[in-house]
Amino acid sequence: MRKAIEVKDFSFRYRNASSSTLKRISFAVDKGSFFCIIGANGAGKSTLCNALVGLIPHYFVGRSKGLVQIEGVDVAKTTIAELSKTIGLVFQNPFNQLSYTAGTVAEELAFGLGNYGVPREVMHEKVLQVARLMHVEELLDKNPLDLSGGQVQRVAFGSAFIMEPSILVLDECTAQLDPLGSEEIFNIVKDLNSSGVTVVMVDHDMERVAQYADQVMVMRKGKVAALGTPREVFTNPRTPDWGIDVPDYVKLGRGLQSAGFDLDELPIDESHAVQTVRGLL
Amino acid sequence: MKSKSFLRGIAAQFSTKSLVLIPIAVGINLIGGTLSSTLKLPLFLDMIGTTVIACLSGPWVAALCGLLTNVFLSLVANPVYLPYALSSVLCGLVVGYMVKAGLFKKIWGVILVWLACALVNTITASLVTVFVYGGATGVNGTSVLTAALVVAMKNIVISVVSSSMLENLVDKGITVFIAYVIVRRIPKRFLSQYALDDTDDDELDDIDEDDDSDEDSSEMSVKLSETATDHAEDTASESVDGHDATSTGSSNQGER
Amino acid sequence: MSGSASAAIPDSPLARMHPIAKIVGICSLGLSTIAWPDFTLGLLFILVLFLAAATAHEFKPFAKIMLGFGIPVTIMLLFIQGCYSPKNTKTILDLDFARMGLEGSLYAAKIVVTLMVFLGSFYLTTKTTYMGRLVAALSQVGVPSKVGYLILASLNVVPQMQRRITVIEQSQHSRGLETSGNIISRARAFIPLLGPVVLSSLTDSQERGMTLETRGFGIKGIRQTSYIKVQWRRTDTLFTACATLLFLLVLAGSIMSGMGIVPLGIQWGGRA
Repeated sequence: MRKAIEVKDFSFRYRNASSSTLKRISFAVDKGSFFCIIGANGAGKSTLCNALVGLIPHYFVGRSKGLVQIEGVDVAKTTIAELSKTIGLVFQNPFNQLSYTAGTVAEELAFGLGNYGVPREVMHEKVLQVARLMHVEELLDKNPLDLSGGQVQRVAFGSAFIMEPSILVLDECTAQLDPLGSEEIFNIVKDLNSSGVTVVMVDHDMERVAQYADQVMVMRKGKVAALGTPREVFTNPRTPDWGIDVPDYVKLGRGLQSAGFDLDELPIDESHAVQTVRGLL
Repeated sequence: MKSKSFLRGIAAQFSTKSLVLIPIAVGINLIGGTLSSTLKLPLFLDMIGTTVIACLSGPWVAALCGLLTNVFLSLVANPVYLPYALSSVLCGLVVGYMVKAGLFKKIWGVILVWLACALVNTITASLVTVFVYGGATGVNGTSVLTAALVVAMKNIVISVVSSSMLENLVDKGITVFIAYVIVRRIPKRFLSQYALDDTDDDELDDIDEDDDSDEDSSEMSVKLSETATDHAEDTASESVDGHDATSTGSSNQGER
Repeated sequence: MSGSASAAIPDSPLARMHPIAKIVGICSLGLSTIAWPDFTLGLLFILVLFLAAATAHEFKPFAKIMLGFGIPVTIMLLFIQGCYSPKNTKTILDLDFARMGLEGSLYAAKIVVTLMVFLGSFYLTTKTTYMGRLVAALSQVGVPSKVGYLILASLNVVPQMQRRITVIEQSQHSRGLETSGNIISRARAFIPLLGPVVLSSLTDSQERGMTLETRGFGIKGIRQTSYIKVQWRRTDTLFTACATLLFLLVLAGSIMSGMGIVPLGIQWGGRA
């Protein structure tokens, strides 16, 4: 099976920067999987996301080396517009993901379609579909600039998803939202993933990563520090060196171990922890 | 051929990156205007954004920004501002080309920019005031000053020019100073994405220099120069004339 | 402002009119006023614009704008041109310090009515046109999407920036920072609050550009479509035809009167 994303020895350095932001990154993402990228601030996570959707090298100026393939297509040889039909990007700041050309949410959702010359009837249909999926039907006639951050973020999701990409790249897309808004967004992400969309998510919520990720990649100073299943990554004793936190459940397990309990394996998520504790009682 | 590459150079300045700056620069212009009226200053301060964008995206984007500011003002505030778009456009061009010549990096250069901007604005604004409006627009302190000068000197043109000169020297001085402070404070990483900050072009060092393993780099570099050429062709319309080559071009050079 | 950025525009014949027809209307009225030898035609147009404003439920704000602009500029120009124009020969009013001349005053009147015709028609157009509809109409006739972006984004970004400033200003107020007093202290209170807004707006633009790029903005070789449907009605054809005809007639009349072929009744100076 062809991979959704394949990155080989990819390096990138912004113009005038003193050092490379990405250094020989290599990894692959399976189709339909939930792939998480974690790491300290400044590790190059956002830059990597930009490279996946083609903003590097087509928007950001700098020097790149190596290969990024999205569903077998070399990112450097196509355009961002062409790629957006395969891979969508949602990032942190909701209000920077508005086109600023729309007076209503409906127009905002339709912005991408209009750029591709999609006929109006199809547009109306797709806007309704996506609005239902993102729970923004009741906002369709509102001005996007009057909405809350969480609502705008759902609109941003809709605007990216209306192109029907098979891969979604989410760069800390819940970081600026309150817990409720964050929860709503994440539920949408889960639904999309279970309907077959490949998800690449940068996140700081380790409990969430441990629970949902198929694969976790740890980045540190522009390099891949570790890549594996959540269990492999979070139970690795070197996590403090990578500048990442581990889920509280792992800490609980370690605490239990050092208190003298004998555990078969460290718990990494909630259900697992419940099981472990139940086993001890 | 030469005019074609000149036009192409202008078109290259209107990348998406520059396009998104324009509304924000227009906003900064209008905030300056609002600020001066809130502080009850007899000034415009409506070219701060134009000056800043001239430093980032070049003369023609700055010119468009100036035009849009006046169109916007004339739509939402008062159509009197529309003909003064001529001043804004010319000032944008003058500042843009002076910045391109590297003048914004030194203090004396900044002073030159200020004087040039004040001069251009005085001439064009006076022409507009006299030939379009017959001497006064009734919307600002300058008109009152002009009226007073007319009483004293009995000559409309001289009065308009002298009141405009006085105002522009002060106004553009503050404008250029604020713009200079703003540009100095823009994060380096953001600034480096714009064409006018291209000090990196002649550095040919390898981007992997801080990596230990390099065994397959010959294969890699073939790959890259291939993609870089493709890319350079794709964006041929976006590359500025020879000496202003984008860094994709320079990375191509570096690999060879 | 918010009226043109949102879809909430009261229904009226002007609101239903095709945006392109309105642009033709502005050009026709404005150019006719300029072409006509004196200020009388412009005065008539101003009257028509007041009536149009009434049908669009905009009479009160319209009158406020027109008078708020018209009165000071009339006084100023009548003073400068009326008293000090070098073309003055006939004195119509003798003030103590200066004499008001007929030619200069008529010239001032022509300028004032021209400005007011433009102001009024601009104002009515922006108040009765949903800007998204205007841009959709423009893109239908082949105006590039980058131009549409600049119009709409400026209309949306500018108020947003102003709101941000107001928010900061209010918070500074509540923290007891001085925003009144003399110029120096006011400037001291204001300038530090502008810096962060300006800088963050500039750096935000990078992400906004990313958004546009990943939504296929500026794609070449495809004719863009709009979500908003703008219909060209028969009344729009009629209006455009009338507006064009009006301008041509005025132009012809002005040229003929200028060449002395057809005298247009009393000449009120105008081209001083």
